[in-house]
Amino acid sequence: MSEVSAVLAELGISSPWLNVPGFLGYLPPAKLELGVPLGAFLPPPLSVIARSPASSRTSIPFAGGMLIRSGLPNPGLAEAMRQYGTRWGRLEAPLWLGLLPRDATDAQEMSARADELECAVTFEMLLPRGATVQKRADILAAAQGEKPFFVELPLDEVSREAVEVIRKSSARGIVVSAPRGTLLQGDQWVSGRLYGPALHPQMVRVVKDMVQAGLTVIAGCGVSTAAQGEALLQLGVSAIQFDIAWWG
Amino acid sequence: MARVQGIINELFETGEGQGISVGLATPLNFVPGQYFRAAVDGSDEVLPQIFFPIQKNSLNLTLEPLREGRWQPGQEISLRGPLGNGFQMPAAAEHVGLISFGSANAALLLPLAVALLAEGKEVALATAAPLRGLPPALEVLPPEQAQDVTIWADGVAISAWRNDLGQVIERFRGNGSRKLIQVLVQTDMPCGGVAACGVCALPTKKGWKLTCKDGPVFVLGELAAE
Repeated sequence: MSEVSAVLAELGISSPWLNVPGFLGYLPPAKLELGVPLGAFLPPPLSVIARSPASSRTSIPFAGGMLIRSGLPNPGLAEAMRQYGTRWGRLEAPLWLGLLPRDATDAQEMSARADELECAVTFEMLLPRGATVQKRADILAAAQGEKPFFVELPLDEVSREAVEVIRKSSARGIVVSAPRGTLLQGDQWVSGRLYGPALHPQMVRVVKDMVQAGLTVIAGCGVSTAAQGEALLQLGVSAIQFDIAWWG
Repeated sequence: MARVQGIINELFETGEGQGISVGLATPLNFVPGQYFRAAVDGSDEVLPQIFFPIQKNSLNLTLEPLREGRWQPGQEISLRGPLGNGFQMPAAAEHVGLISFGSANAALLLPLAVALLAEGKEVALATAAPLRGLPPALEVLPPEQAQDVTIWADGVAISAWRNDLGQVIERFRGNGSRKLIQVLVQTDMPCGGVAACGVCALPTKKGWKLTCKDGPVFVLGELAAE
């Protein structure tokens, strides 16, 4: 069980179990809760310029999940490499970066920095929300460097058009990630990313279609247990990224 | 960090919600202000809840606050902790003032009150909240007397919601006093220190800090207004 797909094996990754970027912090805890070996470690998504937490940061539980609004705070890629680069290099699992480009210029700069980081075997691009097809294509073209990369596609942004842009790029595969949602907290509507088991059926349907279409797919949301992950791997998914399941 | 199993003995109403009383398999030690993550067997909650210890008596522990959930007496509970950094009152402080600011949970300050009273300190608590299990030697004052408490005390501990920190800074830091004022910050901490999700982030004079890892107790003078 848990055999590693060819695409992960090429990257030197020996286990299909990963974390969604940021869900294990900047360095993995000494003891992991899920009882699965971590194939690669993904620190929080990094931008070119440091990002502050969202002013309305919060978490709201709902039946079967949790809305999290954080603003994806981070010190910026260069600063994170300065602070954690040496320790990332000492990890047992290889490093897999999550990158947050605003545009093609950012993507090019970040791809070049990822190339400099020896312990990073790959990275995944989190495309700006609402970007046009052309902008997405430009970012993915600029991301092309020495290292292979993946593209994160939120569950609520999966469309024929969005998939086609990725398919035409040099990306190795698609990470189907957490969708956004909106909930009422007090008298305020709050938008954020949705996590938890409630997403599982929708995510499975999407990744199943993608696998059948011959795409390399990573399940990056809605997986809560190793058993669910095993079933997805049997289905042809290349890897599993757990999110809040690590926090249980 | 320990992981301890227990049984929920009782759910009780507080002035500010609900709490639980737990019978533990083994004793748990903590510094007042530290917190625990807890989950019950068979729960459909996706994440453990965050609890602060309120009272400890041998193998019995009361914890608050209980969010909505299907928790019942008799359920097995798994506690992980203590987590974060608690209060560190200076040994020289003979008079200690406790303040629950706004709608913050005053009960979170009770373990500190009990510890200080056991050391022979004089402790006063300014709060509007009705509390159960108060130590007889604890002087309880209305919230209007919070400022008087800070003048009388050598050290001050405040319980406050994150959204009220701007007011707390404005009200208690501007008097030029050098006495130590510490704040226990109540806020969402979904990752409970496992990640750096940023939901509990606070601005400080030294940049952003995480309530779950760097707190939940902070020195007021180090916090910055947002």
